[in-house]
Amino acid sequence: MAGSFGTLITSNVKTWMSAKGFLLVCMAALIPLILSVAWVGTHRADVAPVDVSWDPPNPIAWNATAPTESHPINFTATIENQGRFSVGAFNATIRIGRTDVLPDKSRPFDELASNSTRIPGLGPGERKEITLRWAPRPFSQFGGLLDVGTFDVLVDADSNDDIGEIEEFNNRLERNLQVHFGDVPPSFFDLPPELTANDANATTRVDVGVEDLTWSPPEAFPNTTMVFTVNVVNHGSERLENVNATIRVVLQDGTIAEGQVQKNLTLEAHANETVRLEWRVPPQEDKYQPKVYRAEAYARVPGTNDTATANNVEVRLFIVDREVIFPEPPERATIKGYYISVVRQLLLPLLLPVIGLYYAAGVLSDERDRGNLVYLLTRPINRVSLPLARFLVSFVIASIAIAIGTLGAFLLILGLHQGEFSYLLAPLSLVILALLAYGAVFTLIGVTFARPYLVGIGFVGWEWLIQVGSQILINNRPVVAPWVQNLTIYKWLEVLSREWSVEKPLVWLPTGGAALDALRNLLIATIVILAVAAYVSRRREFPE
Amino acid sequence: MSVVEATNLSRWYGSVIAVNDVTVMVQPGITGVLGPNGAGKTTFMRMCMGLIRPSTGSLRILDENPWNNPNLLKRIGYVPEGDAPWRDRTGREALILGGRLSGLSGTQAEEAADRALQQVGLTNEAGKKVDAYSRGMRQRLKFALALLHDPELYILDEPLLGSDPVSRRELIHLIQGLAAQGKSVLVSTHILPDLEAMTQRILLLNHGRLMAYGEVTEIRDWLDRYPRTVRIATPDPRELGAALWRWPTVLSIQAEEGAVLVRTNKPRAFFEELQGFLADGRHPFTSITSPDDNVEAIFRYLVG
Repeated sequence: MAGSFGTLITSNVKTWMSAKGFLLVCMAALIPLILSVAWVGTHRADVAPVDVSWDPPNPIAWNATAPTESHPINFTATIENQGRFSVGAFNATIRIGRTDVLPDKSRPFDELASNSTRIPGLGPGERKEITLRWAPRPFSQFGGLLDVGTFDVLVDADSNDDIGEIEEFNNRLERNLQVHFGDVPPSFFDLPPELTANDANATTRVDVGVEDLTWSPPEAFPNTTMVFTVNVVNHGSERLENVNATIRVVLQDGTIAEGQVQKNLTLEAHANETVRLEWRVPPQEDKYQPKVYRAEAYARVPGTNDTATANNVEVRLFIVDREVIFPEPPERATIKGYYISVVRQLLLPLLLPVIGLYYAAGVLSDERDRGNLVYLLTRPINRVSLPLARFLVSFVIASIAIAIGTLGAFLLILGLHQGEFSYLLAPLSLVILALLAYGAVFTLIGVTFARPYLVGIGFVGWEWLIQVGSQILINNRPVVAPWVQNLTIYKWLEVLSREWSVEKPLVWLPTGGAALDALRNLLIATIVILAVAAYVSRRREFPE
Repeated sequence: MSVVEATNLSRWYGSVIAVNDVTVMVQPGITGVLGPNGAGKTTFMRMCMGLIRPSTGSLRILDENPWNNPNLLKRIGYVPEGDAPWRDRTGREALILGGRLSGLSGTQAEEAADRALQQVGLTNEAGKKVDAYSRGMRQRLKFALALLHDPELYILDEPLLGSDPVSRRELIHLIQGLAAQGKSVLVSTHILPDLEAMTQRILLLNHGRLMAYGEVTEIRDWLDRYPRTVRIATPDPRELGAALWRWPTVLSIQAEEGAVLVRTNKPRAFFEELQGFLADGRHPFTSITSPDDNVEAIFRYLVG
C-alpha cells in the first residue's frame, strides 16, 4: 500500500510538471514578481537624508556673561541618492520646531525656523549638504523661558515631492535637539553680586561644582516619587562653609519650581557631598498634553560669584497610559511596508485563495476530466490516498512556487542591502500556512462536490464578501458581524499578519495573545477539514 | 462458488431505478451481460467494482463485499467504459503505472506491462503516447490494464467498442483464452454476434430488472410458451407450406424463396410431429433451423 502511495506521489509530481503546473507557478510566483518589477522599474531613484548635525553640539540660549548676545546654531544635513539611477531637481528642507500632542491625538508641528534648498540633481550614491542657521530666543516677554528645552529637527528630502522614488517614505530624518540655558535662569535667584577688587582673590580661591545629576526612575509617571541626586564638589584648596546647594524641578516653559531642596553644606578642600531631592510627581492635568519638566542643580558660595550648575536635564512627564498619550505614530509606509503590503494585501486575500482553489479543488475532478479517476479507484489502493497524495504534492509545489515569488519580490523590492531576512521568513511562513488552510478547504470541496471549481469560486467570493462587509460601517458597526468573520480563513490569517509591523518583523511562532489563538484556530481548522475530507472521500460514490 | 452473488440488489439515483431487485448467482466462466441502453448493465458492474453501493440488497464478489475493499480489487480486472487513462504517457508507461498502483514492484510492473502489451498486440506501439493511439488501440490498452495483475475475475464493460473486426476477433480470442485458464469474465456488449462468439451464457437486464440468466438454449426452452419460428429449406416451399397449414401446432405459415417459415406456439410438439412427417421423403428439404435460437432473438423476445 505504501508503494502504491509512493507511486501516486510520483505520478502527481509528473502531472504537475505539465502545463497546469506551469500555470500554477506563473500565478504563484510571477504575479508578485511582476508587481515588484513594475514598482521598482518606475521608482528607481531614492533620495534620503542620511545625517544631520549642528554646531555647537550643545547649544545654549542665553549666557549671563553676555546677556545680549545671540547664540546661533548652524545645522547641516546630508542628502544622499541611495537609488541605482540619477535623479533630477528636488527640494530638501531643514525645519526646527516642536511637536505638540493635541487632545484629538494629532501631532502638529510648531515650526520655529526652516530652510528649503533646491538641489539640481543627484547621481547614484552622490551626496549634497544643506544648511540652516537658527538662534534660539532665551526669554518670552512674560519672563518665562522660550526656546529652551527639546526641539525636533526635521530633514525632508524631496519635500515638494518632485521625484518618484523606489522608497517614498524614507525621506524624513528626525533628531532631538537640546537647547540649554547657558546659566541658571536669572529670574530664579538673585544675580551674583558685582565683583569687586576685594573679591578677586576669593574668586580664584573658591571653585565649587555640581556633578552627576541623576534621577530615578528614568521616566516620570504621575503620582510617583522621583529621587534626584547630585554631587557638590569643592575643587578648591580651601574649606568652604555655607555652600548653598539646590536641586529643583521646574516646568520647562514656566518659572514655578514644582519641587526644590536647598542645603547649606560645609565642604573640605577637594571634598564632595551628595544632595538629594525627593519629588512627588503631580497628577496629570491634561490627558493628552504631556508636561515637560526640567531638573536643575546648582551651588553657590556666598560672597563669591562662583555658581555651578549641573547639566540641566529634562524629565518628561507621562501619564500612566502611555499608549493614549503617546499613541504609536501611524504606521508609515516604508519599502518594507510596501513589501509587507504585497504579502498582506495581494497574496493573503486575493492570490492565495485562488491558488488554493486552483491546486486543491481538482483533487478528484481533474483526474476524472483526464479519464484517470475510475482506473485509480479500481486499483487496490486506499481511497483516502488519492486526494491525500494529490494534496501533498500540489501543496509542496504551490509552496515552492509561492516561495519563489515571495523571495523574488523581497529581493526586488528590498534588495540585498536591506535584506533583513526576518522580513522574508515571516511572510513565507504566513503564505505557506495560508496555502495549507485554503488547500484543506478546497480539498474538502474537491472530494465532496462534482463541480468543485464552481463551489470553490463561491467560497472565494464568500471570503471576499466578508472582508469587504467587515470594513463597511453602518452606525459605527460593521455590516458583517465579527462572529461571521470567524468563519473565514482570511480572518485568522489577517490576525496573524497583524503581528507584523513595519518596524518589527513577525515574531514566529507567536507566543501569546490573539496571534497564538489565530494560529491555533487555523491549524485545528485545517486538521479537522482534512479529516472530514478523508472521511468524505472514503464514503463517496462514483456513479459516473 | 459463484463469482457474483446478488440478492434483491437494487440501486436508484433519486427517483430513477437503475437496478431493480436483482437476484442472481453468476457462475465461473464467461457471462455476457446484455440489455438495451439504460438497462442497468454499467450500474451493475460499477457496484461489482465497489464504485457505488447498493441502495438495498446485498452483493458479493468472489465471496467478498466489494464496497471500499482494496483487497478484493487485487482479484478483479476492470475495463470500464470511456477512454483510456494517462494519455500523456506512452502505452508502456501507462501500464507500468497501472501495475505499480496494483501493488506490483517496479520490475514486476515492467514485466507485467510487456506481457500485457504482447497479449493485446500493442508491443509495437508501446512507445507511443496514448493520445496518439487509435480508438481500437486504446480499447486494447484498457484491456491490457485489466490483465496486469493477473486477476481471477474480469469485469469488462463494452470492451470491444470501437475495435475493428480483426481486433475484435483477437480480443474475443483473448477472453476465451482467459476463460480457458480458469478465469471468470463478466462482459457486456451491444454487439450480439460478438457475445455469441464468446459465450452462450447471458445475463439479460432490462429497465434494471433481471430478465434472464443462463445458457441461451436453456432460456429459449424456458421461453417455449412464446411463439417460435422454424425455417425449413425446401425446393418446394408452397407445397410444404400447404401440408403444414392444417397442423394444430402451427400458428402461421410464410413461404419465401427456397424455404418456408413456420411459427408455432408449441415448438416441442411441432418438432416431434415434423420429424415423422419429413421422414417419409415425400417432402424434400435441405435444412431445418430455428432463427429464434440465438441471443438476438431472445433479446428481442424479452426486451421487445
